[in-house]
Amino acid sequence: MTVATPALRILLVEDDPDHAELIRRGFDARSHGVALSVVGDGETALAYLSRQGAWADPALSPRPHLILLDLRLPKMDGFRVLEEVKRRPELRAIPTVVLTTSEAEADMAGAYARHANSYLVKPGDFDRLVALAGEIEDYWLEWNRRPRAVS
Amino acid sequence: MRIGSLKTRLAMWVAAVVVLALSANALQLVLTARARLRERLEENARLFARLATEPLCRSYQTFQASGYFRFRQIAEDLWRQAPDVAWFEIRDVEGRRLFHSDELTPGQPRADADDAGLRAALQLIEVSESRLASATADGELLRIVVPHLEDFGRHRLAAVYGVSYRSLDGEVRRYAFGTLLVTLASLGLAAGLGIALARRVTRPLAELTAGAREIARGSFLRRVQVRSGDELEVVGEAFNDMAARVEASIAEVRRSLERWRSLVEGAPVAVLTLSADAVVEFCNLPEAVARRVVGRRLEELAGRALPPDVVRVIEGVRESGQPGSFELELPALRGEGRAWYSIHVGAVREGGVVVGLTLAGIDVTAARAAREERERLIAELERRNAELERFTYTVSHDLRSPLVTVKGFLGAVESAAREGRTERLSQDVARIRAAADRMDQLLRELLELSRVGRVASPTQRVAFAEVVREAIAVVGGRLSGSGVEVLVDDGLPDVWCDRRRLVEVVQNLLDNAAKFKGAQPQPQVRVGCRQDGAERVFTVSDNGIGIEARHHETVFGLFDRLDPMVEGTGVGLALVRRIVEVHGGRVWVESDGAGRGARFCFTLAEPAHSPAGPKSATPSA
Repeated sequence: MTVATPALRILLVEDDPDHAELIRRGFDARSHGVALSVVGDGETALAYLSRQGAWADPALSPRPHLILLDLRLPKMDGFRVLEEVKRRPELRAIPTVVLTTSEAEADMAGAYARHANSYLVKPGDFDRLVALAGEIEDYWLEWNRRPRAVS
Repeated sequence: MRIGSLKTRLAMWVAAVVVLALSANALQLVLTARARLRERLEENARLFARLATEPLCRSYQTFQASGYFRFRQIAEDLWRQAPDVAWFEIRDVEGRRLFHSDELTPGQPRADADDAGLRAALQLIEVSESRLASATADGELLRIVVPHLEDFGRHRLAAVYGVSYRSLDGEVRRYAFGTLLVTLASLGLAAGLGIALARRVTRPLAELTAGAREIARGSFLRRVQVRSGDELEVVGEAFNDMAARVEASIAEVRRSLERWRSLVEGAPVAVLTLSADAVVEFCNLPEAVARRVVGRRLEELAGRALPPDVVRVIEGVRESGQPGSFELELPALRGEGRAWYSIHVGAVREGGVVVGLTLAGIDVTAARAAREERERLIAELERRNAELERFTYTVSHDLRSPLVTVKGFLGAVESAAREGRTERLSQDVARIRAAADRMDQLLRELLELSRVGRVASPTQRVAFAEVVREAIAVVGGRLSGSGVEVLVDDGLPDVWCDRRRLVEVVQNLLDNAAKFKGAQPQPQVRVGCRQDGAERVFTVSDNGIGIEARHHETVFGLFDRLDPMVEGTGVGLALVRRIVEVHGGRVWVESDGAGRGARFCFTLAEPAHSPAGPKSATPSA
């Protein structure tokens, strides 16, 4: 899953394996510098981030540069994960982008209220998904600057 | 009593004055008469003395000189003519008594009464009189001394007469008696007149008094009849005017009272008035009801201490005089039980001081129940709305999810086809088919879920064991395919239910147990029933992966799945919850945690509590 020296490490929190596969292909279509880690639910995401259990080895769970977070997740939903990430000082700085099928007003408001850094809706078309993946990569790799501590 | 004494006193005063006046008059009359009679008597005696002296003395001289016996005869005749002359004497000029009339009648001769006065009187040649105290107890005597003048003015003899007033006594007594009679008659007349006068004067007063008393006793129609033609008649007229006005006022007050009484007694409101110290003075309820509901004092209204907020309202009314109101639960006016009353408190004021309270209570039990029902319905509706919103949201999100998959992989397939790459084609098509199937299943299950509650078959009594058997028959293949052993306890009771729905419940729970058997080498499901107090709890227990406590609620949520790797749509348990709730029961899960099995429990409404069967309800998650 990991590339030797990836330019951008992304943690994808997505319960639907099909969606995860689509997003992976979206990034694969253009990028060469993205390392995508996928976890299927909120609890696993937090375990990954806090390096607990199966993720105790930092080599297996490198700090992501970006978290792509689905909202509707088993066991612990996206909002709880978001809250937890933004509550913890060591995780707070990681840009967390919500990526969901929901266009509900309440979800957007709830995400930003929990300090989500961006809110993206999964596009239906594959082409648009590829485009979105490219934009994400461009934006967070090319344009966005982050302190060294996070990288 | 006063008026009686007034009359008596008036009569007595008049009588006393009349008696005094008449008595004085009578006394004066008697005294005058007596003096006049006495004078006449004395006059007669004097006349007699003048006339009788000459013949007496002359015949006595003759008798002395010749012994002429005729003297006694003459003396006796003369004396008989003057009955008031008690005696007479003939004396010589020296005062010696020569003859005394006693000698004419047999008896003791009188002692020679001689004195200087008499001698001096005899030596004068004049008629003389003197009053003497008689020796006897007859009272005064008038003594008349008359000298007998002879030729040449000399006298040798004198006659002395003793005049007695004895004859007067009889006359005076007769006169006095007559006067007394007249006086008494006058007195009687005066008394009669006095009484008549008193009666005449006091009769209007008595009439006024009696009238006043009757009016005081409440006979306001009474009028007085005073025709005395004086000030009392004016008083009587004024009295009648006053009585008429009082009667009019009283009648107005009565009419007003009657209006209020009718209003209050006919009012569909409990009305009370209380004295300043909170004692119930009036209550428009029937006696027995009032005693049961109201009591005698304000403090007894609730049968116990009034709630503090009610006490505050009442104190506020007492202090400010402004009306207030509160709601209080009291025994119902009719029948057993209790009712809620909205009670309005008013102040009765006199000169700015609160001297009492008025209470008007309206039974607001129905309104209160309606309000509570309305609030409950609103809450229920809000809950349903929120549920529906959540449902819509969930459905739209979860239906979009496979759509995104379908469209996404279709795109991938297209672009691969354009580029002539075929290595992932079958895999992608399989993904598309799976997503489409998933969507199809989701839609069917959603439809099913929405039917629950809308299409309610009539409830029937059915053996729970029968329901379980039917469910096993449906899912039996899947269960035995995954090696799950199903145990059904004996003695399962009968239940009232929509049979087909309850079969679905058991079926879903069995499916669920099979799905989460985990790595259990000997997976088992056990269907049973236990009694929890008054509740019958049906259980479906497994020895599978179990559920952590924090997920005990979320497992029942629509599309909520704990493990995305396990097949299923997340509708099954939501459907179970919906069916159980429609049956008036509730469903929950018990588990000691991950790896320790799970026990799904549900209750159903007992027929006694819900004879009409499942409630109808709108579809929701």
